[in-house]
Amino acid sequence: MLKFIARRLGTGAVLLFAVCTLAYFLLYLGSNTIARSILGVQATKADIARFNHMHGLDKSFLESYWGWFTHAVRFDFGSPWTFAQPVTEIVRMRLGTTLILVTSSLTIAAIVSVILGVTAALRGGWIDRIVQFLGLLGFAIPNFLVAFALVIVFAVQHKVFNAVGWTPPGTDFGEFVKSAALPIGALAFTSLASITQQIRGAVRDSLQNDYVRTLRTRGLSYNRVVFKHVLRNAAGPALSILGLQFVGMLGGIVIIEQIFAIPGLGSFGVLATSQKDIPAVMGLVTVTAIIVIVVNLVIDLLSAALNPKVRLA
Amino acid sequence: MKKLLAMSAALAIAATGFVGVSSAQAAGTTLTYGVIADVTNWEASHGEHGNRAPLYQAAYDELLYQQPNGTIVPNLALSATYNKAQTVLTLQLRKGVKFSNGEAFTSAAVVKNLLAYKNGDGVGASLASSVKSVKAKGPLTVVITLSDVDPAFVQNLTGPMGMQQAPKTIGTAAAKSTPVGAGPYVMDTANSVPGSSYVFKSNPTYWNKKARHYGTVIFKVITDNTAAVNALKSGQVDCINLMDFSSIPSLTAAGIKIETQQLDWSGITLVDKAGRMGSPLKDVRIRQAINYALDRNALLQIRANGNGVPTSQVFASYSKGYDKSLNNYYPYDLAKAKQLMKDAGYEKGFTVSMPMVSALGATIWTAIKDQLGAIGITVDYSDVPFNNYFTSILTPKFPLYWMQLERNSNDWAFLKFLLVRDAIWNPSGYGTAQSDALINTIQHSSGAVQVKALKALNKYVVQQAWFAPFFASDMKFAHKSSVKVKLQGGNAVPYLFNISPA
Repeated sequence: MLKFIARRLGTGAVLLFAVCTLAYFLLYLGSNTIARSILGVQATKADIARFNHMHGLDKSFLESYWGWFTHAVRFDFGSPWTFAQPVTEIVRMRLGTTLILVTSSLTIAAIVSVILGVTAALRGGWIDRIVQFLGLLGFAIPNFLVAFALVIVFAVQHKVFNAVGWTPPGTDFGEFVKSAALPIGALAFTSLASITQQIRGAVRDSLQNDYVRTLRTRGLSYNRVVFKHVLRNAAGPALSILGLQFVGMLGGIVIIEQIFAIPGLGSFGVLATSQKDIPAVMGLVTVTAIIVIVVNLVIDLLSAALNPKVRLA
Repeated sequence: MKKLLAMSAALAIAATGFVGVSSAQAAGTTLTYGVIADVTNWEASHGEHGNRAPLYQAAYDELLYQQPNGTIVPNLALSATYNKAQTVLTLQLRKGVKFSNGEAFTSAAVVKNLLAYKNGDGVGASLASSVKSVKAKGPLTVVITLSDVDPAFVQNLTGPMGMQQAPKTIGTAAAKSTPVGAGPYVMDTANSVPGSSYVFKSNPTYWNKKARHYGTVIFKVITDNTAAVNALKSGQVDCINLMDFSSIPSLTAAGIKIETQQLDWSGITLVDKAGRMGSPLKDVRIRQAINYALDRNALLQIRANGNGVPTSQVFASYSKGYDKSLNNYYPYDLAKAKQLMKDAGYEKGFTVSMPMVSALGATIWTAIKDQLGAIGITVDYSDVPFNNYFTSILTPKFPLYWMQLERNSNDWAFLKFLLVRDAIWNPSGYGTAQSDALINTIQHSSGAVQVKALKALNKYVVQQAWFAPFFASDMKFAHKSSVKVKLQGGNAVPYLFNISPA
């Protein structure tokens, strides 16, 4: 187990280095226009030269990257050019916001998916058909359309929840619920489809296995067989899909954060990229890559814990 | 002997420009102001015009104040007086003002702020480039020496260059995220969420309580137009600048009011007026022919869905140099355009190269090509990556280019931006003896003489067809009927004091 973790972390470090180097190189390629973009059309040549010198944009790629890298390994991503706080502080604040949205959505989606997926697999019939139809809707409708619909009905027409903005849970829980309900609802709805279908399929497959018949002939109740054995065997694929959904949401949450004007990692990425703020973009790229590597590792470990047959290769 | 600017007389009078409400009336009220751009650095030296202006105005007062109609009135400074040579400006400061952290507002504070602005890395630092020295002469007198006559300087003191930050906080890390000034409000950091919303409560020690219309101001950062429209319709914001105008019918149906002003101008800059690039644009008849060949109404529809005003001049309606009669100086007249081409010896036309950015969509480029093609000018486009468009224009690599450029309520700043020989957006450094003379008069005069010279320069630039403007584009500010709004000439959004309860 420890060997597996060490090997995965080592591979992750190599991957992280490759991602950061490539990202920095791509950003550096367009760096001759950054000053003009940030300072605006009224900037003089002297303004641009001063900006470039102040932020090291007049250095070579290697010199510039080395300067960033030697600080980044200590998790010092420096001061961004277009934000008030240091990069680490911005990422910390916004990561918290995004993680609240993502984990809340996935938790709700997972709970509802288990209920729907298991029910559909066990009962079959019209219940199964309804669940499959809902799944189809979830696949077909993009999350931003769901978001628009929720905003129009629950914020604009009925003013139950907020259309825009974000209140952290610690500041005012009531306002937090009003600001988070619709974006979480939009994210959860579209995740439901794939998780439900996966659980439904995995449970149905598990039910076909011989051990289920054996356990039933031994006198175990149907519910005990399903909830203690079948679900455990079906959990592996469900966990994998949850992991994929988590990673997918980190990227896909950009649109949701824009629609609801939420200061999360996604909207930070949009701003940092459009403003060509290299320190900000690199901080975001690094943190996101680390999250993806860690999440994948955790999913693998959980899968192995649930199902000893899974070998940690 | 001191020469007073025409405005100094007004400046010497105690501030009469503010019409506000009593503190008691304002106390329980809240304005929720939607903003489409977040503040990147709260220090006064990083203050900006445009969409970010009201955020800085919440915390920082300026030395002078510009009213919506352009009149400059006293603020933290009671007067601004030039010497005869207009290179030494003396400010008399208001007595008894305190910053929200308890520090006294004195001449030392003004000196520190102006130097921080000039030497900092804010976007407007070059506005203070003419400052040679700034000294405190007594506790309430500041003497600023300029390296050259700068007609924009006094007006610049009404903007970010004149904003006053508490001196002890200048240069500190905390000031980047928490402003401390002598302005009408103080940031409530406990209830503010950076990047999302900033809450400002009334500054209890504010010297000008009458000008303050609301007890609390909340700025909500909304960078997406759909989110902005939803925020308005759901009542979460009282006002916001619109980034896209397609939603206006649904907004007006919901009772939202729209205020319109023309800010930027869109059109072609005819770079090679001196002919150094070998193009026929050296001949004024060719440049005039291009102007006559433009169907401005069609271009306005194509590019801006009709949201703007066709025009032949680059000066804005809020500029002292503006002349309404020049708007239609070049009516759409293909016959006249062709005659001018023939008179110039180009009856069969010519080919000219022009940069194009395909990322901006094909329609505008096609329209330009077609309209110039109608008089025999073949446009040979070079597709330039978006990132390199500015560089290719400013090098300059092309004899003409299409661009949407900002205009300015500060006339001298506008001239320095576009028309003087070393203007950023005059890449060929073009000028004539006549334009030089007019610009020199504008720089060294004031009052009626300056206005006359500005109008003469505008007319000259139009007659000589330095540009081929298409239209002045609209800016639209949406607000609930519960608030009253006065637009600020030349600024993308109303100043904070321009919004009051209806």
